[in-house]
Amino acid sequence: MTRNDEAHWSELMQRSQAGNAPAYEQLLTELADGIMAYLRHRFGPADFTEDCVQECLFAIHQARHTFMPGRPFRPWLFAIVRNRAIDMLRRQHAYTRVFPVRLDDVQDADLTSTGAEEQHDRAQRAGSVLELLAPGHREALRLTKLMGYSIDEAAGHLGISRSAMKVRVHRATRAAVRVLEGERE
Amino acid sequence: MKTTRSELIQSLARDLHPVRPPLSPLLAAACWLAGTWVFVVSVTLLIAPLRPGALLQASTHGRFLAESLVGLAGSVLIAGYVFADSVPGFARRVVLPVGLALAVVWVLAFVAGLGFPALEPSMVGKRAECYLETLVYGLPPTLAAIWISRRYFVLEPLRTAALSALAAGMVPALLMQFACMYDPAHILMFHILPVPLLVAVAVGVQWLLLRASSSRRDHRSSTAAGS
Repeated sequence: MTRNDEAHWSELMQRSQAGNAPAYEQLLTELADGIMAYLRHRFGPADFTEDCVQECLFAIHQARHTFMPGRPFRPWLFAIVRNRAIDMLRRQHAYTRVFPVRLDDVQDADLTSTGAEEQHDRAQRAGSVLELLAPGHREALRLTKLMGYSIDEAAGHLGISRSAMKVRVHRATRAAVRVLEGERE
Repeated sequence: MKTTRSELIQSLARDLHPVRPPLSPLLAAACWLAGTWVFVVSVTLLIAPLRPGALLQASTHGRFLAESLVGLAGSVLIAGYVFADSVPGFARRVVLPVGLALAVVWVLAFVAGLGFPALEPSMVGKRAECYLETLVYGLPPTLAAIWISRRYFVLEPLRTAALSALAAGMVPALLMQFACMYDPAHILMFHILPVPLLVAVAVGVQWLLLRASSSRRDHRSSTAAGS
């Protein structure tokens, strides 16, 4: 998102606040593309990203009266997007299959980390939330939130108890939320 | 059938109507704080006057004054954050921890006061129902803050409700330092302890409001789907 984009969207939002429907349609269409790019960058091609985009658009619609002309557009937009993304991440259920991949087909090598420094550099470049998490948290979220496996299946694969898996998923979600919230400043 | 993105955008554009940007949240916070103090001071004085000599004590006992000012500063910062946070992306994140830290320091001042009080503990000015007064006087400003913040777009409604109650509850608790007897143990038990209770009430009220909104939205969706 460039400064020109920010000024452009700010201008479109002001026209939308005045009731200009074509300007509003244009704004939402452009924002949707930007939000999708942001979510894919952070979470990868997860099944819930399109739902999240639509939730963001709806939230933007409800919140449009709070945008103050003259104030930066980006912090306003991304406060809404991050909030909705965090909400969706917390609400993700385990039974939607994202990839047509059987659990047995997932190679353990895919889930283990390479050298920590190399991992961190790659993560910084990629900007992916998952890549910025500790390996155990990353595994937990990949299996349960992105690949759609149940707690029991994921626990079985990792060789830990169901309750330990639930705790790990909860902590991983919190860690992902902290990464997203850390973008604010 | 799931709505496509373009269908949603067209639907939202059809639903578009002009809106006016709201009052600046910081101005709203200032108005709310002023209104809250006027309300709390008025009803407190209607019931009974301030503790005799309380205002003089503030000018002659620096630590007593400092206790009050720290609590006041905490309440102001927390209130400011509540309203600023009601506009997405508006609030500065640093404000809340500072406000909460001041509130904690304020409470700890009385914990320390159990051994080393700022004023000589005394029963002078004791109010019969100060616990209830703190709770009851804090409730209308809490509800007002929740109502006002809902006019914006609150991203974390339960947190907003809790912080609203904290900021609102601190006002009568602070005033009681001047209106009721001075004894750190009494202050902790009867002026400060009602505040977490007020927070619990506020969170409960907000939760019920969220459930009611959610039910209305589900009912509208199922009605629209059926028609």
